Amino acid sequence: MALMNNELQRYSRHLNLSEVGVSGQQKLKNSKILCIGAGGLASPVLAYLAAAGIGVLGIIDNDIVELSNLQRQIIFTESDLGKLKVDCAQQKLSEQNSMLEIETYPFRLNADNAFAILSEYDIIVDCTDNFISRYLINDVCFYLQKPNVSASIAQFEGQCSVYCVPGGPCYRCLYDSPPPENLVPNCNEGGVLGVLPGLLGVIQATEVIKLILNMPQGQSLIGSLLTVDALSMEFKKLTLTQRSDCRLCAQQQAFIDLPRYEESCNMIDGNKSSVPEISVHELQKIIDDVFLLDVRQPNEYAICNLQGYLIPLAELEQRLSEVNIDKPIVVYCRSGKRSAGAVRQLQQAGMTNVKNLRGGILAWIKEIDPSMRAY
Amino acid sequence: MNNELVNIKLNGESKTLTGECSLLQLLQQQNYQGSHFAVAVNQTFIPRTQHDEYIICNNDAIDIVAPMQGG
Repeated sequence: MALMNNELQRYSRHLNLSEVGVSGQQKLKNSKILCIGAGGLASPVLAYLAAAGIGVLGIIDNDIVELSNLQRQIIFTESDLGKLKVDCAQQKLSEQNSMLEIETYPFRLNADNAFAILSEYDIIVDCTDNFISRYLINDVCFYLQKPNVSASIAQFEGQCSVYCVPGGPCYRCLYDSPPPENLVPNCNEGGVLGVLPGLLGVIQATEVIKLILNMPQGQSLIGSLLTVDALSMEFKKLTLTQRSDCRLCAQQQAFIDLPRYEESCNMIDGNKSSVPEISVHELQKIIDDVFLLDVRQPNEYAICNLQGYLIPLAELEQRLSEVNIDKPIVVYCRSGKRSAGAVRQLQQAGMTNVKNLRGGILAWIKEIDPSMRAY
Repeated sequence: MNNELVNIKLNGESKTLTGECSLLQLLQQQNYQGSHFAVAVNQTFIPRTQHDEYIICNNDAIDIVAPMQGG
């Protein structure tokens, strides 16, 4: 598709770059990019790709905009609270660039829908917030031979690379399988500096544009992991090659099972947890007769607590001896997800009378004591 | 017996090792267990299967990176 007059004007600063020019701008216009996740990383990815003149942007996310998102997810505003993220993003981006075609998918990517959706796009941008999605995207990109421009963040640090370019390494060449659940905190639990996804998302958008423009490999993050430390402002580029013993790359013909949410339900979705549960009303009746274990971080405990015994989840394995097994044990966290993982750990350690507080302290505040501070 | 001092950078911090030490031994000394991290020596990742045979050299820069899931 040729560029129209108003596009020549709009993208004139690109056209002046010999690396882009009219032909490069046409490539941007003819490209279809899929952004998976519409949160912190996706905010700059989507905004800059829309501004750059990409033809089609797909956005997958099943979440709604929450107040705690606004600290870093800069494409959303206060008037978006409670609305579907993909709808809000679509509205913002079409105001930003009316030439842009936007496809929205208001549901979660899974092993059943991933092939059909990803195959529609040229480049996939991984802006997700959980390991199951990250491995799923990697594996499907590998089979479809679609570049996966992937970034991840935690607290003050981030990583970015381009995986699954034919001949190049995949995510499993770096980290062969997902870490045990609850070993690595997500943004809710570990916290994240608001500008960090901005930094990493802009790097992802840059890599997407370079891929479309066919810039030489040595100048991209294909075969390199960029690590960013926002505290020390150190950026490192570490060389990563395709591993001959990678369980995906080394068995090109053999189809490995795609990661599924159900297999690690409580990492992704506390509702599907199969651990024994107790409701906040049931707990209220017996609260004096149980050992109440709080597995959140001390700073969360300081905001609100049920006077539970505090052992942050990451320390639980080392501090099992502190758990009082003479009483029934009830474990809680903010929403019930981390505590479900803790219940499993305690069960594996041989403790049988252990229950998870359904809905966490948030449910307690809502149902039992609305005067407490929620977060 | 080789007691030469080997100066390295581990995650950016200076460290001195005494005598010959493989990458695997260093990781074990530093309590890196399991398989959920990746190790680069002088800015290049070393596959896990080679951690045992890689002998750390003077001035090696070793970076250990762990996966993150936030987005």
